[in-house]
Amino acid sequence: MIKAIATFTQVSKYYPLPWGISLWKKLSHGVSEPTKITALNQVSWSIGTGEVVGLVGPNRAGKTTLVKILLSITSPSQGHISRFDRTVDDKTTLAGVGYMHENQHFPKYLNAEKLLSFYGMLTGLDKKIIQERTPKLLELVGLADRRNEPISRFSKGMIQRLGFAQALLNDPDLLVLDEPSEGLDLPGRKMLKEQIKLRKQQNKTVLIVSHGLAELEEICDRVAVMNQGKIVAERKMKDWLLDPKSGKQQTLEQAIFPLYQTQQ
Amino acid sequence: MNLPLIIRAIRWMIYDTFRQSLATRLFWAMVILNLVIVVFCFSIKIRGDEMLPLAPGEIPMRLNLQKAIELGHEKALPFGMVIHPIGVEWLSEPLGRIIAKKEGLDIFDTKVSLGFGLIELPKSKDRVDAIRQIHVWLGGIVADTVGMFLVLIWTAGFLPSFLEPNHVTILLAKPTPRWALLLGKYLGVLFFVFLQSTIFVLGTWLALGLRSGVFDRLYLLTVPLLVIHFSIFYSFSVLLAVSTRNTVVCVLGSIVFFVLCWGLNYGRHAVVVLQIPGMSSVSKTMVEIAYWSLPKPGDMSLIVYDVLQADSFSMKIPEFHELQKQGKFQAELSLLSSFVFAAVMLLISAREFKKQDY
Repeated sequence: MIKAIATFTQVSKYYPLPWGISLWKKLSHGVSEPTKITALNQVSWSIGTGEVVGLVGPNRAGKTTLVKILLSITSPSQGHISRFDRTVDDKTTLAGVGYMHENQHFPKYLNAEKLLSFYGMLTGLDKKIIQERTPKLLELVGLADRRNEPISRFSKGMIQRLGFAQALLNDPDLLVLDEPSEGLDLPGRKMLKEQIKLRKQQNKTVLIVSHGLAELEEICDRVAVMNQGKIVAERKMKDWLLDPKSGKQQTLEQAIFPLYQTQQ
Repeated sequence: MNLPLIIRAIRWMIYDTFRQSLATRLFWAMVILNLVIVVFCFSIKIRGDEMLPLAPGEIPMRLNLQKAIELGHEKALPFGMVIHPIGVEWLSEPLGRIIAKKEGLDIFDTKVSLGFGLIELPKSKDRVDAIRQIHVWLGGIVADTVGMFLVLIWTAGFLPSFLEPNHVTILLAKPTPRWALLLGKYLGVLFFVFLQSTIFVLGTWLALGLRSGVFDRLYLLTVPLLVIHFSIFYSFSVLLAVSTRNTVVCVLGSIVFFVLCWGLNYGRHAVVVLQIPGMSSVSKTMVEIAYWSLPKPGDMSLIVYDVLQADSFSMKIPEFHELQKQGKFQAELSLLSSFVFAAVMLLISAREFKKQDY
């Protein structure tokens, strides 16, 4: 049995409505009208060590909220989450996590090299390790020749590459990628897939939130589908790709699409 | 708690804020503004009290007339001053000058101008006092009031841009505690203000000193005072930034708060000194509570005045004089209560930042 690196137990997250809207709803629809938005609803789920797990679902399904709770960026309204066998309140365990945000904005006054130093320091890495890894990572993501250029001159794809390098800087045991291939060109996507596969070989865990189902098909061991704040289905990749009715092969998109529709 | 990590994170946040100030060109804009004031100070011209040759134990100045009279003929002589035995009345303008010239008397008659002679300053007592008076204006009015106001506005955007969700989210996914990020940013802005204050004070001190020969080291104490004053007000800006993440709210809120505190501070002193008739004891208590709870920009000007020992050459506002005489102004308590305000603001900000979802 695979040891869990992160576990969600009955996790819910509610966001209160702005007070003006809340008041209007109460007045116009009565007291019973909900004054909060449910982003996550009693989610119980786990991610195992060495797995490459995909998390998919329609927009506003709660995927990013789940990831943010896992990373202590957002706190849950209910439930319990553990990361490396410790509660997510213990931020020290984030030293073993790498995170690539879906729409990252880096300080434009930094260059690639300084940005990695800055984030490396905040992760608690030694200066020596940062100095050692920075050129290698910039080489890996294809930004070695632009290392001293201000980030303000970087394109969306370059920012994504830099974000990926930043997420790998601490050689994390758990790598969380939120829409990683967004804005990446073909070589960039290829590099991303190769790195994820490499991490799998090293028994490191990767959680990918993505709408790129074809890519997930290639790299994921397991995929969970979220809709309306719940995990509505979860299977191993080979099971997704086999149509249970006809017994024929199908794409991940074909398998998952009905789950997007039924819940909307 | 990983202390080395926290210390490093704070250090990096300070450094990052400095880079941010360079990138936004605010650093250089303020340096240029400071240099303009330094050049303005360098334009000072003092006439009428030329320096005397230095001898061991001798003050390198001539005495002004008033001081010379106070000292008497014998004691005034070493300063190059001669007082006519019949008194000073006949030395008054304009006839006195003619007589004095005839008698060969050495009359001290300082004229101070700034802006290469464009602005003539009110007649000062002597060169030292003229410069010290300018120090009081620069420290108490230009830097501590106008400068403080401007810096509060200009730095109000630092934190909201840092707290912008797409930017800060990655930082929040690091093991560094949120309060350390906030503290680092706060200290970073203070460091920026310290640098600018140092450039301003040191620059004006050197410019005035080189032109006049007067280097009053007390003036340098305004650097820590300015940073302390700013740190108190900026703590409120931090709370606004954390709560709203909005630059406009931070800028406007800081302005309104500064003006409010300024008004309350002077209002309280007026209530104490002027004994406004018909004012109820409840109102007086409320004014006292507001005074002790909020930052006190007016008191800071008084502290600057006292630190520069300006009593000896500049007249304090009579109401302030009365306030101090009554013992209703105590610099230490005023500062301490302002520090408590800043600490409370920072603690609330840290708590708010900790529980916020991004």
